[in-house]
Amino acid sequence: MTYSTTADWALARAALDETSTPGAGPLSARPHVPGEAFWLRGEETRLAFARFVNMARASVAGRSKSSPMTPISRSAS
Amino acid sequence: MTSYPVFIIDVSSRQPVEAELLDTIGERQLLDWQFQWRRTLEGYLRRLADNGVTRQSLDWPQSWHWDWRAKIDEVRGLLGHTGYSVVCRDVTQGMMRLDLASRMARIDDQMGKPLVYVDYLEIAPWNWNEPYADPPLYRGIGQLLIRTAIQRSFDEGFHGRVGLHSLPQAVTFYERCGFINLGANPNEYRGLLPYFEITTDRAKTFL
Repeated sequence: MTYSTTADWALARAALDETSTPGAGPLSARPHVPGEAFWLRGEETRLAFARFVNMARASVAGRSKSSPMTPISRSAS
Repeated sequence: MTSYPVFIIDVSSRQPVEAELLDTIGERQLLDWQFQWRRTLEGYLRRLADNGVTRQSLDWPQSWHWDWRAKIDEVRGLLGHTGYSVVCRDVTQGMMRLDLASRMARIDDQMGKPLVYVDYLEIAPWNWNEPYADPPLYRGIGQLLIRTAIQRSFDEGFHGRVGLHSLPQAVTFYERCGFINLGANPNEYRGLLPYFEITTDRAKTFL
């Protein structure tokens, strides 16, 4: 990442958090709903999909490393 | 890991002090959270409880339950997520987790375009500006982290677009940074968190 900042930049924006506390993300008091399936929650859905993509990539990479020339087997008909 | 020299404001002297922006949330940051942030936070919670404030109150710290170790573990190895931290005088002063892959812009003129989404942003409790907290030691950490998210958005080719759900305590901060408040959606976070987004022009102004 390209990143550079100066003391002047910090001073010029010093007043932005003068009266509040910066913070972002889900609130603390998330109620537990009995019987609620974890996959119904948006956050977990996104993370689960990302994990699936990672596993799929790892699987493809592993297969191509171990036997790059292995043909797809077909059952005799 | 890359470290960038940055500046935050020492509240007692009102002068900038040198700090580091790290492009990671490492074990050292998690230890600072576990043993230093939480100790200060526990003091605040005791203070609130002694004054009759309960967990259900909006005065209760809105990020009190956050477990940064779990937040980092759940995205470890995922290409679409990354973390940043600000360190000053050898102590972690703020942390942020970003989602670079799965969120789209909602403002009309950039609707559907990719953006950097701030999953979580928190500053150390001794820097909080809250009635129950001690006077803050440092300011300017939130600004630095938002600047980082915007810069990352430009680097990713997202033209500075950044979105986030603000904690209620922080609404004024994001408005002052130039974010547009799109309000709370009843289907997200029980309708309690307003969604904010910044456009390319506003992001350039902020930088």
